[in-house]
Formats: sequence, C-alpha cells, structure tokens
Amino acid sequence: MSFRRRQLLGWGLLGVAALLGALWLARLDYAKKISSDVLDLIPTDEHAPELALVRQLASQAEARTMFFVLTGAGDKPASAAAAERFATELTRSADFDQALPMADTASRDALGRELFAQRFALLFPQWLRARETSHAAAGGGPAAFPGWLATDAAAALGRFLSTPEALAFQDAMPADPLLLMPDAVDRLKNGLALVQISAATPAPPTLVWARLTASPLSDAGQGPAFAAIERATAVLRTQFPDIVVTYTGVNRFAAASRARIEHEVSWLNALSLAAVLAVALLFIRNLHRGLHLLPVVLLSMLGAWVGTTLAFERLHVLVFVVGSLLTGVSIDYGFYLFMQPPARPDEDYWEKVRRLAKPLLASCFTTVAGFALLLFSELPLIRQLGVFVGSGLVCALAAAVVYFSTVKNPFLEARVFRGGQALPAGVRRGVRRLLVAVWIGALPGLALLTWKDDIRELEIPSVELKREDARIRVLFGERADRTVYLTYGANLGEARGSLEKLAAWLGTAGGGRTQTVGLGAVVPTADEHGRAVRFVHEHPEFEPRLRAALMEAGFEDGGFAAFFDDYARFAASVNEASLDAAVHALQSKLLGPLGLLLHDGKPLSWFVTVASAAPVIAPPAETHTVSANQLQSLNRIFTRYRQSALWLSLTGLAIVGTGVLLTYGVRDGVRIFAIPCGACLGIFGLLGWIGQPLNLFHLLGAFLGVCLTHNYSIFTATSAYLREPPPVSVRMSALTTAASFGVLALSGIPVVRALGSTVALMVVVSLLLIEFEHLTGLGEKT
Amino acid sequence: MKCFPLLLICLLASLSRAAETDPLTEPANRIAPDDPAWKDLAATFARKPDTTANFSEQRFFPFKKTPVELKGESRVSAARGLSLHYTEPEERTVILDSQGVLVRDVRGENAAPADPRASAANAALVQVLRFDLPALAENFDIFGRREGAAWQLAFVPRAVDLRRAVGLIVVAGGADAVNRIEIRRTTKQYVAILIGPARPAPFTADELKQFFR
Repeated sequence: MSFRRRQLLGWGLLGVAALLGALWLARLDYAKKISSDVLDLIPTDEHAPELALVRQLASQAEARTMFFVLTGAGDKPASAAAAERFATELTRSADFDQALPMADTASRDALGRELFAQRFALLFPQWLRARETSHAAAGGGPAAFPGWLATDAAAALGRFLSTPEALAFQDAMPADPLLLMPDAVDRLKNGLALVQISAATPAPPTLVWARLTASPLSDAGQGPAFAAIERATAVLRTQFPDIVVTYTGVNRFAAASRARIEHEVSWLNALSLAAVLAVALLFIRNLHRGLHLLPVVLLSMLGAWVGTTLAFERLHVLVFVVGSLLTGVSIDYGFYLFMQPPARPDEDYWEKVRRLAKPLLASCFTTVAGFALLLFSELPLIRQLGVFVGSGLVCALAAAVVYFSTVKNPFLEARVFRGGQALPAGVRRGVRRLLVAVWIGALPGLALLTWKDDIRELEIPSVELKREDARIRVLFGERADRTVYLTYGANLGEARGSLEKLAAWLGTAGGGRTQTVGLGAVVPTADEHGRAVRFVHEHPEFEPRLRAALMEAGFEDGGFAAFFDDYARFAASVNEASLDAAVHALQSKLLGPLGLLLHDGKPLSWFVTVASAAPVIAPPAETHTVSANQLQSLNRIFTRYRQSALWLSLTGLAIVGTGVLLTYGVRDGVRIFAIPCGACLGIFGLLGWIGQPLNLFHLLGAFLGVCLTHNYSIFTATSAYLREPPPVSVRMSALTTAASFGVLALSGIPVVRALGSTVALMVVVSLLLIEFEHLTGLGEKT
Repeated sequence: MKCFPLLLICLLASLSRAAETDPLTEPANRIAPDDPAWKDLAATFARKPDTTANFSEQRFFPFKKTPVELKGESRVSAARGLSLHYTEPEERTVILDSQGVLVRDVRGENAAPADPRASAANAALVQVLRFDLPALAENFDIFGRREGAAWQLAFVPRAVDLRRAVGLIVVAGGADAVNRIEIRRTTKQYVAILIGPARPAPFTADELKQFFR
C-alpha cells in the first residue's frame, strides 16, 4: 500500500471515529447524564438499612429544609408581616412545598388540635400503661384495676386544678378529665427546650423555615430554588425596601460544590494538557512535530467520554475531574511509537509497530486489565473511572497506531538528555544505594499508616458558606450539644417498637441526664395500643365508675358530658387498626420543623429523637437507631468501600504481576515488578512516618501508579535487554504523567489532591529508580 | 394567681371559648392610654417601690361544684417582674418577667415555651401591676371607671387568639393599691385574685434568688 493511500485510509478511519464520537456526545442531555449529587457516589442497590436511611434522608424533608433570616434597617429583625409575606411568596413558587414564619403558631395549633382529636387513640394507651404500672406498684390486682383507675383519675384531676397548667387546659378539661393532653405535654416538656426555636429575647430574630420540592442535591433543588428566593425577596422589597434575606440549606453547599467542580474540570484538563505538552516540548527537537501527539490525546479523551457515557446511564462529575489524568497516560503510546527510531533507515512503519507490539500491548492490556478490575468495585465512581481510563487507553493505543501511519516520517527525534547516565558510575551506584536505604527506612512507616475516610473530602470546602450556615442554624435553635437519632423500621409500628428500646437505652446509658423530645411521647407502641383496645372492650364498667368517682370528688354531674360521649364513640369503634389511622391523621398535621419528627415511607419509616446530654457511644444494634449525622454514616460507607477497593487493588496487582512474570519469567519479572511495587510501598511508608492519614483515593492513586509505572518498567526492560539506556520515551512519559498528576495535586478537592500527589510521587520515584539503573542487570544477564 | 398558660397554650387556643363581657367594657368607659383622668394614678404607681402582699386565688370551673382555693405571697419588682409564691395547697413559685414564665416547684424549674400569645398574656399581668397603660394598649382595649379613690379597669384583648386564651381582665383597686384581679372566661369559669395590703420593702438577696429569675 502506498503511503498516500495509507494516509487517506488512516485519516478516514480516525475521522469517522471522531465524527461518530462527536455525534454521540452532541446528542447527550448532560444535565441528566452528569451528576454532582454526592448520593450518586453510593450504590443504588445498597441494602444496609442505615445506608438506605442515609440515602432516603438526603432526599427527604430534612435535607430539603432551608432556613431564612430576615433583617430590616439597622440589622434589626424584620417585622412578622415581612416574614409572613416572604413565606407566602416562597410557597407561590413550585420549588417550595412549604414555607412558614417560625413565629407563626399555626402548625403547632394544628398539631394540638389533631392530638386532642386523636387523644384516645394516641394518648390514652400510654396513660393507661402508666396507670397500670402505678397500680401494680401499689400491689393492686387486675380485678380491682378499673375501680382504682376511676378513683385515681378523679383525684388526679382535683389536684391538677390547683396547678398553673390547669388554666391553660381549663377549656379542654370537660372533654379530657383523664388529663391525657396535660400528661402528653408533661412528657414532652423537658425536651421542648431542645427544639425551642429562639429564646425569649427582647428582639428575637425573624426566621422563616421552608422546604424544597425537589432534592437539594439535584439541579431542580438548586438553580430554580435560588431564583424563586430572589423573586420572593424582590417582591418583599417592594413593601419593605430595607429587607435583607440571608439563608442556608444543603442546596447552597451542593450548588457551590458543583460550580467549583465544573470549574476544576475545565482548568485541570487545560492545565494538564498544557503541562504535558510543555514537558514534551522540552524533550523534542522539532516543536511543531510534537503537535502530532495532540490528536492521540484528544482521540483518547474522546474515546473515554464516549465509552463511559455509553456504558453508564448516569455519571458523576468527579469522574471527569479525576479522568483528566488520562492526558498524561494516553500520551505514553504516542511517545513510544513516535520516538522510537527505526531499526534501519528503510524500516516500514508497520514493521516498526510489529517490533514494538510486545511492550505496547503488554503495557496497555495489563493497565487496562487493572482498570477493568475496578468494574467490580461497589462504588459507582470507581466503576466509572475504570471504564473511563480503560476505554481511553485502548483508544489512545489504537489512535496512536493508526495516526502515526499517516505521518510521513513517524519518528520524532528527542533532545539528548543523558539523565542518570550523565553521572559517574560511582555516584550512580551511591544514589542507587541511598534510594534503597531510604526505601528500607520507609518500610516500617507502613505500620504507622492511619486511614481517614471523610465524605467532606469529596467536596471543595466552602468556608464562608459554612460560617453562614452555622450562624443561621444557631438562630434556628441548633446546638452542638444535641444529638439527633433516627429510629427506623419497615413501618411506623416497627420503628415505634425500636424507639421504646432506644428510650430504655438512653435511660440507662445516659445515666438519667439525657433529655429527649420526639413523637414517641404521643404515639403509643403497638403493644400499648393493643392493651388499651382490650381494656375498653373488657371493662365497660370503667365509664360508670369514673362518673361516680368524679361526682364523689366534687365535680358537677354532666360536667364531662363531652368526654363520656367521645369515650363511648372510641370504645365502640376502636380496633387494632385504629392506631395507624390516628398516626397518619397526626402526620398530615405535622407541618414545618415538626414534620421532620416522623417519616412514613418505603423502604424505611422512622422517628426522630432529639437528645441532650446523650451518651457518647452509638446506640446498640437492636434499637435500630442511627445518629442522624449523615456525615458519619457516609464516612462509614467510604471506609467499607475503601476496604473493598483495597482487595480489588491487591487482586489487580496480582493480575498485573502475574502477567509480567509470565511474559518475562520469574527472575526478570520480579525485578521489573519491583519498581512499581517498591515505589508504592516506599511512598506509603513515608506517608506513614509523616503521619499523613490515607483515604480511598490514596489507595486508588497507588493502584493507578502501579499500573502506570510498570509500563515504564517494561519499556525500560526492553531496552535493558539490548544493553541500551532507558528509552527517552519512558523519561518523557514519566515526566508528562508526573506533570499531569502534579496538576491534579493542585485541585481544591482534597481527594483529587490525594490521588494526584500519590501518583505523581510514585511516577517520580519510579523514574529515579529507572534512571539509576535498577534494571541494568537484565542486560548483563543476557 | 398564675393566670396564663404555661405549656402549649397554643396547642389549645382553638379549643378555648370566647371571652366574657362586662358592663365596664361599654364604649362610654373606654379610655386612652394617656387619658389625663388616669395620669395621676399611673404616676403614683410609677413611684411605687417593690412590694410584697398576701393574696388568695379562687379558680371557678364550670365542671367543679366549688372553687379551687390557693393562697400565697406576691412580689412586684419594677426591674424583675412579678413573682407569685403559692403556699397552699402546694408550694410553688411562678415568675413572670421579660423572659417569659418560669415555674419552680418540687420537681424543679420549668420554663414555658416561647409563644407570642402566651408572651403577650404574661406581659399583661406584669403591666397591670405596674399600671403601665401605654404598654397594655398595644394588645388590649382599655376601659375604666373611677369613683373617689376606688377605680376599676378592664382589659379586652384585641387579637382573637389572645382573647380566646386570656379572656377579659378586670382589675379593681383603691388609690395606689390593686385589690382584686379577675380573669373572666365565662360567668362560670374565671379566676378571682384578692390581694392584701402591699408591704413596701426592698427585697433581700435571698428573696431575689428564691422568688425571681
């Protein structure tokens, strides 16, 4: 085939591939395809209940909550009318499904009315259990209980009338002589201070609580919601010109993080490409011919984007941040093919390709095999990264082979840098020994390694936002000494049963100091409800006995007609299913922050308990309770995934290592593979000595580093067999890779920094080992 | 004499009935907060020192044949608010001040949750005992009648929620003394507080600690 024909064919092939790839990418809906939602980092099929809880929580009311502070002229609290207007404007937008001023008592009134309406189904069972306990403690038998209960209730009512609370409840008492409402309030009151929104101060802040319609981690919960807030503020200013609205919410952090990650994708990729080209241009004689490397890198990136977007329905944006490292890796094949001189002046291009096929294919396929193993990771991000880098590398190799067939003279001459060779043999030997000594000294540091998996390291810290968030949350009553527990179950009944166990545990583990508030105080357990149902059915005599006891205690006959009418209706209709209906009726009235206390849904329902002076230890498993601190839960997930990634990496290393051993024999294979493994262990040992905690991404970086540096080792071995110095392509490749990963080390995202610095360090250390003739022995042997 | 809701009054506000009326609340008796006819009395009250007085309280409930009777000592401080120390039938101290309501009894201390209606109602009692008509006028329509040294004032909450929660407040006195306070919900449901002669005396440090916040 003539060169011209080969060139046309090559351009045609590459052009068609680029066109198809570009067409595919052009028709994608990127808003749907690419996510910045931290929850997309968690597998959707995660079955552990507490992780399902975290996933649900993040989309549920708690995370959708937004807090607003309204101030007027002179930084004084805005008026109640301004808060009312702002809340009204927010609810006009489809982006908010609830908004209410915190000073508005409507939600508490609604809850109070509903509790009163459902007092027999919700409050009577707990009251009855408490009276049964007192009766039993006094040594009373079951037969005497109804009579004792009637007398005791009448006496309790008499005592209650002289308390301050009696005047608050006086209108309700004719319908509630058993004092079910005061009893419930008494159970709640110790904890009420824990959820007190604002202390009684001369000028309490004007606060508005709102709930987003969409998840704060989705696009719909961010841009449109912020626009709605802007609109509501603008409308408010027409009436209150000096008003200032400050606010916080999960969506602010998510949006800021997303914006900065997107910014990082752009500049990291650009800077990475620039750094790689700058290093490349340092080594090549003819700068404009160096631009031949660019199509290979671009086609590799195109292939990686197409491969991942084809393979996954939804991708996390971090893949593209971390994926920018591909620039430094994909250029390797271009270097190796383009910079290897022809074996003889008339060597045909395809002959050269065949000659270099073994190291090219060995390095490419072992690296791809290593990354392919990431497909078995539980973590979607790791799987996506595996496909991104794997497909990018295959495309890079194919693009390099085809592209350089279209270049008339496919040889790029390098500048002469002798590297380690420039030093006298004795110095080289000394440096080599020094490196080995440092490595041996570093190894004990492995025992000092600590691991810290923190979900926050996936995001760019937003100091200002955090400060503002903390300020506003304090105004809304959040305090650091509070612990929020979520007690879950497959349904509310199960969750309520577990809540009883939590209460018992808090009572003992908290040493009596723990105070709590939650709807457990007004929602009975299934057992309590069942006992109440049996009591009203089995003891119809209770009603006349109570009437008589009340009369005897000095109460008016007929004074409690409303109560006896309601009790008769309750006794006639109550059954085992009544509780669910009552709880759902109550739930429908839980608006605003109160709505966060209870969640009925699939796959989990839960009760929220707010506690002060809570035990420092986590609740036992049988309580089915987790602290609502999502951070801790997500960190636990990441710890688990890191352990899983460790096993995957070790398996990948075993595969890569076996490939090297099979290709080069045990003795040479060990020597070749010692470079990547030694660099990895040495760097981790050093990190252990300096006390740098490691995370999942250090591990991932190490795995990537091993895959990359073993390429250099293989290419250098090929030269060593011919008693040649390390090829310049290895030096260039290593330095370009170090440059591209070094750029990642500049990222604002801590995990990306971790990955970039780990790989860059490994590459630099491996290059040092190569430069100082670690593999020279292979040539001496032959 | 703790006349206002301590806990979750808001939950029950809607269950409350409309406030009682009184002939005193006829339009002819309406007075402005700065009515010159009442300025001398307001000035006298403004000069009053901190005082202690015995009081008895009768609570009338429509479902109870006889009223519930309570007794105790009240302390009024211009700086610290009102303290009601009940001695019968149970010992209990109720403090109403700028921070709201605090109850001290054998079970310890309990502060009522913040609620605008409860705050307005509690503040009203303190303002009544200080004769602070301008402050009362923010939330109440004021009616009054004077016959010689004797005087009578009625306070009708303007807001519906407050009217439901508090009802009608009627205060009667002679010269610079408050003799009787009634909080009327209905003719059968009200609280009547009889206040004995005031004993002007600065509070000791122990008294301040025990009876105020």
